[in-house]
Amino acid sequence: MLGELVAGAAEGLVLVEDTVDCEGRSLLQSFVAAAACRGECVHVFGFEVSEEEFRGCLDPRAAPQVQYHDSFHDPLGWSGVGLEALGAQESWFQGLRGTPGGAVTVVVDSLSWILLRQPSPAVCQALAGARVQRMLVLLHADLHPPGLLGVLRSLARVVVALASTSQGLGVGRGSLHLASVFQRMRAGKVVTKKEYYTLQPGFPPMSVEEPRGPMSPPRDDDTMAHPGTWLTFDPRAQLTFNPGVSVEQRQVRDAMPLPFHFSPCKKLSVLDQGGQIYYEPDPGDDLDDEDPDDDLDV
Amino acid sequence: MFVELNELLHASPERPEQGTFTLLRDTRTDGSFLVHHFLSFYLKAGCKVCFVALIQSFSHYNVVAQKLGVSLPAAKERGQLVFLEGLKSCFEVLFKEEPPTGQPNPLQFIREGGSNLKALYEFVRTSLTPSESDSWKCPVLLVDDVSVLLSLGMRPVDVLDFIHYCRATVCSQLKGNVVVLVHSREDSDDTENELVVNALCHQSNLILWAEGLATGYCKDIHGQLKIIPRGPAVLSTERDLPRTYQYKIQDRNVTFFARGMSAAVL
Repeated sequence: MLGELVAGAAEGLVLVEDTVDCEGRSLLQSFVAAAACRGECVHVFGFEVSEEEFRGCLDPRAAPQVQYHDSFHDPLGWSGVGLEALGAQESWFQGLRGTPGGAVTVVVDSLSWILLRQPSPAVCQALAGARVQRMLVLLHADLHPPGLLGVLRSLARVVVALASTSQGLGVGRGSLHLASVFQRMRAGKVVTKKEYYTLQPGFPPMSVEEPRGPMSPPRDDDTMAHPGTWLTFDPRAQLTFNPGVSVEQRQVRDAMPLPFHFSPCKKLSVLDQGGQIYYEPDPGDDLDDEDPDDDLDV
Repeated sequence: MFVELNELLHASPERPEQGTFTLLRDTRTDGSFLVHHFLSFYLKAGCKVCFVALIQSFSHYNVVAQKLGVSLPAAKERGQLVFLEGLKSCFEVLFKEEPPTGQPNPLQFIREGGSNLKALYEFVRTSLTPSESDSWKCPVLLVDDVSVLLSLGMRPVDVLDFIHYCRATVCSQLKGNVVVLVHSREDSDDTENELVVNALCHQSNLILWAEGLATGYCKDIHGQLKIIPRGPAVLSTERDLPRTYQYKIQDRNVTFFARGMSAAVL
């Protein structure tokens, strides 16, 4: 499903939500690369990264299709360049109101940057009133309150929420990511799907089946090749002994008496009825046959 | 600089990376040893360093730098180090008259309520813009630390704007590096600080996260360090995967080892 969205099935507002653990700019770049390869005109409003960094993974042959509006170097006019510097944020709003040059795809990197500096109602109104065929926005979900996230998701036609598959493995490129896709169709039907995918720079995402680990523990190189296999790791598979107990073994074990449990037969075997004590007194002993307790008045 | 940390980061003072934004983050421990590492690393690499020191005095950093083989007064004298001593500048802003002409104090935002950090950014830009006589390698901005700016009354957006402009100027235009220390706490009520921390994590190319041990104090293990690469598209290699090591801080060095492999327990 994710591959189809990247290939052009996504329309309207497409929200790519990422977190600190799993970045989403690479998926956004794959959307842009696919749109540019289809010959569509793409307008990118970049607030967080420079143009060189954003275009880094794009195919040079498709680069002319991508027009980058630089709002990264001087968005607040601190360099005092004048009207050019002051229009960084305003140009984004204008870009949504009227399609600049008949743009098919508008990309915002990132919407979080704008939401932190502009009133959220104005931003939501601009998103709702946009007249572009496809609008891709990157949103850092861990920077905004849940209420605002809910509002933005209700405005979006497609929501792709990214998550890492294990501790930190979702950060590096080419590692396994989990995408929760929510798509609202034209007829009103809603489709949701969770899928694992890997992503190489400049290429569309490749869906991967949900990782299922084998019964044996993976070796270190297997773990790197299949990062999800350790999720169902069975530690008992390669032990040199059997920690389990069969039913017959359990019965025999239960029937065994405990070492210090004094059953009547064990008491009899321990307590000896007969026997005498033989004592040879030492030369210094003072033996007295009288009972030493005779003088007690008891 | 700590040699073992250079090996873990695949960094060398002979070939310092350029255009990177490194975030130093600490939780339940003090991550300032990372600041001392990068200060000595970039000075030994021959880079021009602008150090915005808001926490400690110059003498404190100098004492530690001398243990690592670097003299901060000598670096200042030859023009390699531009040091903004925040503790002294705060005093001048609050208790001294403003100079009639010349550059405004970089920390004038302390006196002016509701202002931004543009003056501090101008100080950084002026310090690191190379002159014709400069022969240093790439410029480097070091900030210790960002969380104190929030404590001084700045809004999170103002702090993020300052870092944004520093990245745009130092990393993108001047092809230099920015290293910033920020404190964070798990389950913290300080939503503004957590917002700044998360936003900086999204912007960084490399995150070094020093954490105290969850089990508490240990004499032989002072904490654990997570190395989390982020940033522009690169082919995935082992270097791109997050790694965690434990460390022990000694007098002149920091030793790193795999978790559970401390010499004290082996």
